[in-house]
Formats: sequence, structure tokens, C-alpha cells
Amino acid sequence: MDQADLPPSSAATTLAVLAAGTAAEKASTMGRILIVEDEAGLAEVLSLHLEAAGYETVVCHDGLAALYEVERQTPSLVLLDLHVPQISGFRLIQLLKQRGETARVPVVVITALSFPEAEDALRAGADDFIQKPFLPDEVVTRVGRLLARVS
Amino acid sequence: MDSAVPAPQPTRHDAVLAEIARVAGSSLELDVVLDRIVERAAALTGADRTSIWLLDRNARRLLPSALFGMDAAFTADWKQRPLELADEQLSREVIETGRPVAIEDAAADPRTDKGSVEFFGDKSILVLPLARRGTVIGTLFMNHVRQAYRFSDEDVATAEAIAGQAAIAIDNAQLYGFARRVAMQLHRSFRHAGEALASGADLGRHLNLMLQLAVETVGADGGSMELFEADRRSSFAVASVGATPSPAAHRERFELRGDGGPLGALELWSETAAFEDDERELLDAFAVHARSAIEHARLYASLQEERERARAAERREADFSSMVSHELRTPLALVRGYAATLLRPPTLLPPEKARRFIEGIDAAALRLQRLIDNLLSASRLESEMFTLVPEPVEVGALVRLAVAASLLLAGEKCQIDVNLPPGELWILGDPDQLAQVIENLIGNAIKYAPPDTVVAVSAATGDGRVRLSVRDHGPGIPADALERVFEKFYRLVLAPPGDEHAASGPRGLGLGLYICRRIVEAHGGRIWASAASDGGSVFTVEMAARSHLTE
Repeated sequence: MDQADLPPSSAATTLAVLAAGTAAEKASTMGRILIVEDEAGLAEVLSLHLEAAGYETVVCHDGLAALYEVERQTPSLVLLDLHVPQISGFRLIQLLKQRGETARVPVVVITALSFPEAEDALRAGADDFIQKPFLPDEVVTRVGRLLARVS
Repeated sequence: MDSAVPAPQPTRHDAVLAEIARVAGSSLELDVVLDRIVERAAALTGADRTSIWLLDRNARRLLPSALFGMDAAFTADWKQRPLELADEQLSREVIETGRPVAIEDAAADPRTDKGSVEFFGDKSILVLPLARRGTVIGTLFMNHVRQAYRFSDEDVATAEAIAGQAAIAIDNAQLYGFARRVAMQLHRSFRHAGEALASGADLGRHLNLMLQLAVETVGADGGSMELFEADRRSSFAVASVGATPSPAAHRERFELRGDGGPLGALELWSETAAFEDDERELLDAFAVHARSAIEHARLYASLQEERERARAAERREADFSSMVSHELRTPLALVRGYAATLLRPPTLLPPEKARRFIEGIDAAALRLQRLIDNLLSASRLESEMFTLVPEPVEVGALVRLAVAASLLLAGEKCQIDVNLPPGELWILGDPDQLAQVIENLIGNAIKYAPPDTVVAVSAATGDGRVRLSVRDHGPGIPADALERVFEKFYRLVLAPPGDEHAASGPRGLGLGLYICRRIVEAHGGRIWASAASDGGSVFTVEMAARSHLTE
């Protein structure tokens, strides 16, 4: 079940035929999504669908790895489970909003609860939330809408 | 015929008395009564100036209390100047003997204050004791200025009668004033007791105010209040008023007795005089108020505690329902995510990936099933309907079934090793419940096991007992949590300080091990956790062994 060892683009190749052009071309135009999710299966599903929609994705299984990743390359959007090891989603939002380069990167949180967790996350600076269970298409739609609004 | 007997003509003496009695009874306000008495005394006896002096509490000073025959401004000023009894020879003689003194020639008599005689131009003076219940409480002066007066025996007797009435009137008015003041003080004291209840806080402040009132009411020099510790062997001071008493002080101690036994004590002291009976009664009333204030405050504190406990329970419940939500929604999200991906047309997933996703759905469904089983078990175990129907169970078969049911959860993450002794091992119990215990233990081990490690399940027998162990190579359980992990809702949270949401590893509901312990103990067995020698944890279940053949 663990997809962490696979390169991010491998999932894209499976559904990439749905989109015109190559994944690499798409990534440069559509944006790069950082998925922070410790449930490997959920991360894989999200990654598959976002790549099928033309995004480039990077998966991190904990908050600390996510922090290293944003340091390496600023993503277009962060899809974040609130309960991840090392550094929680709440803390990660605060850290991202404090950093100059990531302060304006939209953050969409994934949570089992709409209240009070999602509200706490929105107050901490998250831009949107998605409640579990979710349909992958819904996530893709929300991500697209948020990115369109930002750009 | 109509021979009306003439009513006896009242004597002058009787008339005076009747008049004074009427005046004395006309008011309960001390100042009003005294003013009327001195005015009437002058009018009835022909004295030019009449005055009443009252002894202070310590009988050391004479307080100028009422004056007739001088103008209002003079009278007001006069009232501000008490005299030391020691300096007043005339008053002292009257007070000490309790007898009137009549002086015809004020200027010549050695006992008079010559300065005063000269100032007022007194010619004759009659001084009478004001006695109440055998105690002299002051003096009545009748001064003649216009002309010298020779006091007849009847004059003195009349004046004595006036003084007697005056003393009664003073007594009544003082008692009334005292009673009213006491009523007011008690009312205030009671209010403090009530406020102590209403606020629940600041008991010390209210007790101090009540003590202050008690001290004022009986004219004590100080007081203190102490409460017993819960063990009633020691006490601590909660209120204190006035200076520390001298060794010679008169002390009065009142026990503060609550419904459940002694609460503490109230003590007052006076440096000059012992407390009288009526004062002791009053202090008793204060003690009752103090007691109810203390009891109210304690009741309030215990209510507060109860409320805190209820809130904590509510919080735990809220935490629990939020955890249930997490634990249910995450596998649900997996099921829906995998299914949506598989269903998406056209499905271009390679067959091996599609198969992995279907297995993922199965594993997520199993997670849900286990969760729901545990939720139902917990409520069933706690209900009174819970009954155990034991039957002979073979441990090897039980373990193999539980392991098989857990393989899906282990997936490729870890390997489950089974090590059973040769032959059959029989125990007596409910096979479904025992299976749940083993599945929970194996499920936990898989959850906490790092990838590519071994979960080892083993059984052993000896001393008529069967021991079943499940060990993992996970992070292990801190020594202080080895017992607590069996508590209901207890979850081992390994999160960085200040960021409890960053809990690493699986979270769970804190029900699995609780259920295990309940089931095992219902079977008369034991379950415990320990640290494995080379890291990780070992959970052991111990139950009585049965020979199948004897069953």
C-alpha cells in the first residue's frame, strides 16, 4: 500500500492519457500540489486524481517532511491532513503563514470534523477544508477553484 | 345615696412620679428620654439646671448625656467633654455609696468643684445615683442657682424617685438600642453568611467581617476564628480582629459545630470585664452564622468540584466522539477514494494496481468492522445483560483463526509469526470474545510495528495455566503507562510537546485494550503489558488450562 517509494510522476502516467500533452508540460502550467497525508492509501488516491487533472504532486507522510519539501520548492497549493506525525497540520499552517515565501500559498485541510477542527484550521490561516470521507473529484474541483482565485 | 367617695388627692410626690414615669415611657430613644427627664426634673423640683451623667463601659469616665437649663450651643459643646471619674469627688461619692448627696452651700462644701460652682453660680446641689439592677450607671445633678435651697427629706425622696424612673428609662432605652444594634449586626452577619454562600469565594473575608461585627456588638477587645483540618487534629486561623489578648484577658470560646461534627471555634476576649450571659447568647448567634457560612462555602466548593468532574467527563465524551469520527471517517475516506478511482471511466489502472486498491477497500472495511465491534463490545461489556457462556476452546485453533483474520491488516507491512507448543491447549471460555482479545492484541501490534518487522504470537503452558503472548517491535510503552493502557479511553499519545495533534502512529479510541482486560478478567484470567527485552512491547494473557477430556 505504501506509495512513498514511487516517484511522484509514476501515478500521473497511469491517468495522464486523460489529459492532453505530457505530464511535465501540464505541471508547468497547472501547478504543483503538496499532499501531506500519513494515510498512504489516501495520499495515493489524491495524487492519482490530481495528476490525472494535470497537476504535479508531491506526497509527504508527516509534517516535518512537508516542511523540508516547501523549503526545497514552494508549492502552488498544500493539501493537508490535520493529524500528521512530527508536526501537526495546525502547526504547519502557522509555520507556512509565517514564512515569507509560503505565506500566500493556499492551504486546503482534510479533516474528519467540520467543527471545531476545521474552524480552528481556518482561523489558523487555512483557505478551505474538505471533510472525510470525500470524493476525489470534489478535491480536484476545490483545488482548481482555489488556484484560479489566487492567480 | 350618691355619696361619692372623693378620690384621694395625689400628693406632690406622686404627681411628680406619675409625670416622670409618663415621660420616661414616652420614647425608647435614649437621647430623647434623657432630655425629657432632665427637663421634667427641673420643672417638677424647681431646680435651675439638671444634668445626667452616665458611666462609660469601664466605669472610669462620666459621659455628659443630658442637660437642661443652658442654651443649645452650650449643651452641644458640654456633651463633647467627658470627665474622669477620679477627678469628680462628688460624683465618686454618690456612685461609690449609691446614696444621694445634698449640698446646701455649694461654695463652702469641700466636695464641690469650685471652678464649676463659680462658673455656673451654683448655690445648692442635689446629686442622685442612677441605679439599675443594683449597679450605679450614672448620676443625676440638680443645681439651684437663683437661690440656696434647703432640701427636705421629701425633696430628696422625690428626687430619688425621679432618678429611679430615669434609671429604668435609661435601662429600657439602652436595652432597646442594644437590641436594635444587635439585630442590625446579626442581620449584617447573616448577610455575610449569605454572601459567603452566594460567592463561594472569599470565605475568609466574610468570616473576618462577621468576627468584626461580633467584637463590636459585645464590645470585646478582639477575637479570632479557627477551622479544623479535615483530620480534626490540627486547626488553622481564618479570621482575627484586634490585638493579641493579654494573659489576664477574659476569654470566651464558642464551638462551631456543623452537621458532620466540629468545624472550628470562635473566640472573643475582653481585657476589662467578663462577658455577660446575654452577650454570650449573642456570640452564640454569631457562631451559628459563622458555622452556616463555613458550611455553605464548603458545600459550594464541593458543588464546584462536582461540576468540574462533570465537565471533565463531558470533555472526555466530546474527545471520544471526535475520535470516533476520525476513526470511522478515515477508513471510509479510503473506501470511497479507492472505489471512486476504480470506477472512474475509463479505468486505465494496471491490473495489479487495481487489485491493490480492492485489497485496500477490504482492509479499510475490516478496520471499520473492528472499530464497530469494539464500540459494541464496550457497551455490551458494561451493560448488565453481559453474560458469559463458557465452552472448551482450543487455543491453537483460536490463535490461527485470529492470525488469519489479521493478515489483511498486516498486508506487506509486517509478518506475523506463530509459535505454538505441540499438542492441543484447552481453556474454558467464550470463543468469540477470546478471539476478539487476540485479534485486538495482534491488530495493535500491527498498528505500532514499524514496516518490515515481525509480530510474534506464541503460547505456552505450565502450572495448570496457559499463557498467550503477542509481541511487537514498535516504539514500546513507557513504564508509567504499562497499566494505564488498559484504562477506558486511554490512548498512548506520542506527540511533540505543545503540538498534541502531531500524534505519531495510529490513534485509536482507547477501547481495544480496555475490552481485552474486561473480557479476560470476566474469564478469571489476567492480562498485562511489559517491555520486550530488545525493544517493543509484549502483551500476555494468562488463563487456567483445562483438560478437554475431563470436561
